[in-house]
Amino acid sequence: MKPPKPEDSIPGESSPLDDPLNSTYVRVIAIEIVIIVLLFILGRLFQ
Amino acid sequence: MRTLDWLIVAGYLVWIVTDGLRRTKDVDKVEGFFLAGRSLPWWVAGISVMATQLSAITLVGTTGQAYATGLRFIQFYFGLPLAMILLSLTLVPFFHRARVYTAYEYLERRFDVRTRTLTSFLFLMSRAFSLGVVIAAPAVVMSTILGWSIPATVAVLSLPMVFYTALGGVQAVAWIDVKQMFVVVFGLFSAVVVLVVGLPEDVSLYQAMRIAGSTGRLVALDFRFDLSQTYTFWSGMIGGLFLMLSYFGCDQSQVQRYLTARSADEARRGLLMSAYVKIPLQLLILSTGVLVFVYYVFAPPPMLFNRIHDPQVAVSAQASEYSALQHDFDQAFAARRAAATAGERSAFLEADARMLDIRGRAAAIVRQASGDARYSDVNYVFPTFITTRLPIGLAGLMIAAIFAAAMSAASGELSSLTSATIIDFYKRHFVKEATDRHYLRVSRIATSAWGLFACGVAMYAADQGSLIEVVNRYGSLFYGSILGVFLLAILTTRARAVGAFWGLIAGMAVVLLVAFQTDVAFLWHNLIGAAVVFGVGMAVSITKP
Repeated sequence: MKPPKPEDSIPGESSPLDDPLNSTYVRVIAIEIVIIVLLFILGRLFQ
Repeated sequence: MRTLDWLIVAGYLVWIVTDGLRRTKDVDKVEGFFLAGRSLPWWVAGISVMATQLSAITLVGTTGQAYATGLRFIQFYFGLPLAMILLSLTLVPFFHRARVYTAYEYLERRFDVRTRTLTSFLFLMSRAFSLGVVIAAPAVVMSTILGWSIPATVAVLSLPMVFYTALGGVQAVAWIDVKQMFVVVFGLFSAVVVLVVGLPEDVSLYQAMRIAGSTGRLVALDFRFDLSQTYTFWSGMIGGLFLMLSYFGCDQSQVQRYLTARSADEARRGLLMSAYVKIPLQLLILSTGVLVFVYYVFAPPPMLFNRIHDPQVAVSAQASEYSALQHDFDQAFAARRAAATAGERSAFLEADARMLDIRGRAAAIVRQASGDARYSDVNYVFPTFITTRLPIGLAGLMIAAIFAAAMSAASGELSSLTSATIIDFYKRHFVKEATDRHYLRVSRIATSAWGLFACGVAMYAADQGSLIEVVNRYGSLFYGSILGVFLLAILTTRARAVGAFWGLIAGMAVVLLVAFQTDVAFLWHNLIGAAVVFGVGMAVSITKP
């Protein structure tokens, strides 16, 4: 069996290029960056 | 712990068992038992994913770690959000599309039955012992704190969980996980409120943070690129990414959670819930530990939180030396509190270092007097605080929360052991055609058998401090290699069954070598295992006729 390709996606399911969750992925990464920056500031501020 | 606290713990146990019984009515098919009929909403699947990962030892161990060293353990989770995104784009839709019951079923369709069986067997080997440890670790702590015997504590922690998992399957596990997560998060927030309100009147939250910060406990990030350091920004971001990819993408205890969702998109949304919530939740747990440290700056802490060997120390040759240390500790505590109240930073740090030194010497005496070379009190800090400092009612709620964390992690692992046993072995190799009724009966027997096996491992591990560490190391050997097989399966069409099989063997061998012959920290084992399996797998696939 070959691995499924993006175009094999079943009806009602999005392909990676047209993914309704794309903005969610961006938000997840943005939130992690914010948390890391805040942790960095926290460590410096109260050292 | 007073009567009301015990009533709350008992009420919690009755509540989850009753709920588990209620869920059995909906389970009359194999798909219902193993995948809740692929009918759960995304938020239930998502909470179940998080509940399975949050064990009791995470709750008590992480708070204890934060009490001792601060927030830096958070770096362990830095690879998780990216792992969730990558899995949402790759494995989650694949698994849903393939309509599989186990992650390893997909490997047979892609490669062969040999690769599927070996991978599933490796999973069973690592998870069966890990389940024992998931029960044993909190059982050891709770038996000391509550004064129960180890068998009684193991029984209270595991029998209700085995009962509802065997009867209700994943349907019961997932819905009870939701309730258990609620108990855990509510308990944690309540503890934080009590800790903040419990600060002396003349100490603000800002001052409390200055106190914690002065000891380095608010420094969460370590940017050194040192392979021997377990928790750094890079080990969490890179090694942690591969660990999380493997754990959430290839470990049946997690894959089974999101296969219960109604659709691939709902499964992805459930998984992404962890990407949002996991790091803040861990920060809440770690902050609780840091606040417990600040609380004990103003309220006298015990010299050592784990008092299990007190009787042996009292009759040992070092009894008078230990008493003298207690006297010094009390004096150092008074000096530290006075310095904290007056805002004298250097005097505070000096007294804090003195207390740390005394604690170290006291622990050395305990080790010598008891012969327990692995004695430590890190995991006892939070339970001691709960049972001695929390107000009536809340202590019971927090003990129930520890039980909830233990049960939610264990039930997820138990149901995944059963699904791999029945789907990848029993149904695949022994009884290929039978009625749902037959498979359900066998599944319930398998769940009970794995549950009893885990109880046995837990009771044995509870007496063998070193075994717990060995089993944890042993479990961490498999993840990277299993991930490597799945990477071969989905990233390239040129990988063949023979390459996957020998790649897996080579990956396991190299990780074993690295783990036992070098001091490379365990998070990096995941990257090494995955890389070797992928490299060898591709090489064999291309070169072998």
